[in-house]
Amino acid sequence: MTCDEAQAQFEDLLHGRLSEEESQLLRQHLNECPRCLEAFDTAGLIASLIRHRASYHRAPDHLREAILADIRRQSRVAGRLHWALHWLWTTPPALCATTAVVILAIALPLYHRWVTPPPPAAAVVSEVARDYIRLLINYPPHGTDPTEPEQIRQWFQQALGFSPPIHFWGNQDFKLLRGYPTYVMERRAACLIFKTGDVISTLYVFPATDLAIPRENRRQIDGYAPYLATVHERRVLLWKQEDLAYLIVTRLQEAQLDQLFLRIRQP
Amino acid sequence: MTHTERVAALLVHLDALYNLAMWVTCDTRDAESLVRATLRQALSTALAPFPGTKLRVHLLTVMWETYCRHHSVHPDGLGPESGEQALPEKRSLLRTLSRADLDAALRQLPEALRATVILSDMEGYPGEDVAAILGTTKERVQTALMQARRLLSQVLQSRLTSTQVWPAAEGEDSR
Repeated sequence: MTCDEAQAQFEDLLHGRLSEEESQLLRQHLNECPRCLEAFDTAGLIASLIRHRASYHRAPDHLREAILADIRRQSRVAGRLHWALHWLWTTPPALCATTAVVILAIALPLYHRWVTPPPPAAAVVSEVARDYIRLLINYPPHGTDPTEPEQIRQWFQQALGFSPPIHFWGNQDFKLLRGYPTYVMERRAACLIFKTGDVISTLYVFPATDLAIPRENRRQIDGYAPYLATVHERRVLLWKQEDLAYLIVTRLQEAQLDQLFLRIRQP
Repeated sequence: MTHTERVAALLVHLDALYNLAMWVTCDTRDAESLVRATLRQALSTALAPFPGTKLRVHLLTVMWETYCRHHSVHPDGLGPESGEQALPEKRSLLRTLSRADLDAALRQLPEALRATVILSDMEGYPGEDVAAILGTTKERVQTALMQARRLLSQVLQSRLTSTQVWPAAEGEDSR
């Protein structure tokens, strides 16, 4: 046994963790090596002094109590959470209610967005017809009164977030009175008001990718075929250009209506 | 293991934790907060893989890691080797030293050496456990113990020679 090997076993010998045979070998080395014996004696003495004479700090009572209070506080919070989860998942009515609430919360916005059927053309037509009547009763609509196309365009852009690509801004036959932002079927819409003699005509433009226009009741106007409806003696022409729906509401005769339509429709 | 059983299992080792905490921090408030932080962390993890005395080693390991995170502890903390041994005629006199002398001498050791001596000599843990707790090897624990005892022996003998003059020994408490 070398000195290094012997010293590696000092601890185990001091604490009685060696087998009889290992202990015998180590003691034999200590008999033969005064230096190792010296080192072992010092180690034993110091270890013994530390074990039996140095202070052993026992945990004070207030620390024990503080720790128990810590644990109680932690377990109260954890316990409440655990109880709530347990209750939610084990009580059938509560489970059903919770699930229903969660499903509704997720599904309702999606339903609104994806499942609500697009507005039927008839509903759009009757709404703009009602708006036309309201306009006549309350004329002029409140708000500023821009008459310059550029001013109207800017107003649309600010109020609606879009400015419809309208290129007809009135002429002698169809005088542009004003433009204003409004709503059609809860969608933001641009409205222009034209006047022909005593007759008021309105043009509504709003985004309507999902609006389906019926195949019947089409009026043939110079190669175009807009949808024509008559509501309370007002004629309503409906057509789509790209993603926008256009509606003209008027009491004009059909020939004049065709003229107005072509002015607005033709590029 | 129920919550109550977990708490009871932890509190069995409270004295061992507090003793080491006191010896490393040398301050009651620091020791208490170190013990509380250790137990908080222990309760937040599973104790099942640490049955019996393994739990004590686990807790002490957590505590040493917690302490090292907040203090810069040199893993060795040792001064240069000194081959000087206690003189035989003085050695027997070491037994006459008081508890205060021993405590003061222990406090002069660097933290890592002090922790090694406390775990090994005072608590009587085997070298593997001490190595596991302090995150080192059994061989380094052996070397550290030899050096710690040599330093202690020197300090204690100086104490015997002169109660006023303490050696500015290598490895003196760096704090």
